[in-house]
Amino acid sequence: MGIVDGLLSGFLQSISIEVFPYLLAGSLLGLMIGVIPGLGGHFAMAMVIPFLYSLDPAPGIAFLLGAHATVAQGGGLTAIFFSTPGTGQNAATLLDGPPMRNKGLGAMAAGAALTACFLGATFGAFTLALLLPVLQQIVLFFGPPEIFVLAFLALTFVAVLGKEDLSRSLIAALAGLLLAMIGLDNVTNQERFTFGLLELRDGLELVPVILGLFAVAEMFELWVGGGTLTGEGHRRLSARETQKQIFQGVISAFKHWWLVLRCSAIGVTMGLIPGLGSAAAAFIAYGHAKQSSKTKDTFGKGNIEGVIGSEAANDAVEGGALASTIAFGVPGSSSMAILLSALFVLGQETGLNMVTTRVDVVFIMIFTIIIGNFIGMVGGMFLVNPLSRVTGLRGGIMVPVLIAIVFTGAFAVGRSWFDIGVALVFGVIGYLMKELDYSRAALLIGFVLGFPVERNLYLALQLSGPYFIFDPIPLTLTLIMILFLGYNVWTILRDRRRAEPLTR
Amino acid sequence: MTDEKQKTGAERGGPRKAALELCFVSFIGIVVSAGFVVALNYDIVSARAPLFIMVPLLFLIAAQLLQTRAATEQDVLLAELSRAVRGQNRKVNVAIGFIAWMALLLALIFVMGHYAGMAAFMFVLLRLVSKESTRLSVCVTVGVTIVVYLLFEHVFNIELYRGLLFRLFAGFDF
Repeated sequence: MGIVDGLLSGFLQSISIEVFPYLLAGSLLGLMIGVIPGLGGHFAMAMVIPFLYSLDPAPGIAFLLGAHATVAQGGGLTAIFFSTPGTGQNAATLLDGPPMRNKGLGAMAAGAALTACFLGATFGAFTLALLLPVLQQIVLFFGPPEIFVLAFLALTFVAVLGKEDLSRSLIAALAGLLLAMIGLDNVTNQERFTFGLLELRDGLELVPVILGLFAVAEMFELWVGGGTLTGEGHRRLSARETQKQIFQGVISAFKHWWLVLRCSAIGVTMGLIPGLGSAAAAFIAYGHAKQSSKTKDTFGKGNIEGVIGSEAANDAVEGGALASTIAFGVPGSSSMAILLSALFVLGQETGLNMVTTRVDVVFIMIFTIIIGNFIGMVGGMFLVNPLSRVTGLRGGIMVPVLIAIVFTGAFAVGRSWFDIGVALVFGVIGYLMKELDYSRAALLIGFVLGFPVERNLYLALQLSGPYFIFDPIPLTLTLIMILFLGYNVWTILRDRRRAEPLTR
Repeated sequence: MTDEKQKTGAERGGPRKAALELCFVSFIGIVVSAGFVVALNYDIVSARAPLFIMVPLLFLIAAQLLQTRAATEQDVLLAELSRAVRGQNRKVNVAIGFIAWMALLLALIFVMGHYAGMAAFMFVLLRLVSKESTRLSVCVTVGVTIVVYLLFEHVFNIELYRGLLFRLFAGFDF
């Protein structure tokens, strides 16, 4: 089947009466799941899988990918209005979304985030369509040594570009990497740092850690400080003003089209590399948005570019992740691994067969992502007003309710009582980190990258020996990392030297 | 990179933050040091990555401790710590109290199950601690519990933890 035939067939199937209702239902389900802290894209897809046995491939794919596509949009709204990432991939949105909400611009941030998600996803989907023949060659250049070094580069970006200071961010990033080492070592099967606890043998679950670091820590601060989630500084917006802000946010996302394009490109590239995932892409895109902005100083204090950059990247990732999944059968994330299993359930074979003879199926996926995100954007706009009103509630009412829901979310992931305890412990750690300006994002990204870092280090040593670092791509990435870190250390020392005469 | 980013806890938040940072970083330092000793006993393949991470981490922790310590007078730091230990720091008291409430929620869920535990927790906090009206407390508690029940048990098909008491009455062995 040719590309044009596949495109037409895929589009017509996506909007057909047999497929579209499933796409709509999946997209709304995904949006709802995204809003609930702790339930992410893989949860949405896992929930849909039991229904696939009774569906044809086209509606099955639309239902599954529709549910997955809108999760990040729902999660972005929760991140902005409750300082809690609905999913892990929205963690970067926390840096500028809640500060915008505190300024009374929450609806604008939400409008921009929803639109950036849609634009990013559309960019990712189009890129997937355009580059499919080329991608196979590019991905093959990234083996374990390259991924190992790239993961460290991602960590360096996060540590350096965060709003916290360099040494504190590096402590957090390294601590995050160390936390990822808890559990059974995949190579030797040796238990590490488990203290004999059976629950720690599989390592710490990601979702309770995220919920603790961000959700519980926010509740902690609200309880200790009193007041409301948005603070006392601004009045509540009317429905009309909220709608006005949403449209300002939408327009702002379109105005920053060049930023959306660049961050989406980062997202697609990161998505292509298995294991890095959308959380890392969002943070790197955030770093890029900050670095390239004319208003760097306002990042972390409620800059809309920070929201647009990270949200565009985290949805664009899906285009890249989907490419490596359907072209090579290499899932780039846990969600893509579920998609791969679901495609088997639907009788679809990935690899050469899919990209040559079932091009229509690839285009159903592409149009599902685009249409699903559009549904998510419109549906999400209706959620903004009720969510923005809820944030004006007193802490005394909000905290008990949200803590109960967050603990329920922590339990639901692994059906484990132990995970609630993990959320509590990381809640205390997250609160202290926030109080003392230690980067929670760096800790989280270190934790997320810990497993791929160790696995790829092992594979790199096995494949290329200790000198893998001198291979061309790892060497180039290492040099970029050293130069970047060196430049920032130099600027810190220079600023200190300049400040010394003033303090004397 | 602004100057503000490079300030220690003492410079930004006064001696209270400096004391808190010293305690926090010391605690992390102790945990990482213990982990370092433990990791020395692992197979070389298993120990390689953790040790590779812990060496720079310990150096950074030591540097941060020295920097924070140098920025504040020792007497001021000790006085601040002493105040916190004697319960004279309101923020610390509230924070410890909140940890206790969350630990209580954990215990309630373990014994009474998820729904009864979270309902009891919400009602007690709303009515007794936040001093909300009885009507509002009951409405919020019942409403949230029902929504969570419907969402998790019927929509997502996730059975939440039933608790020790339920297991006892259902005849399970412990």
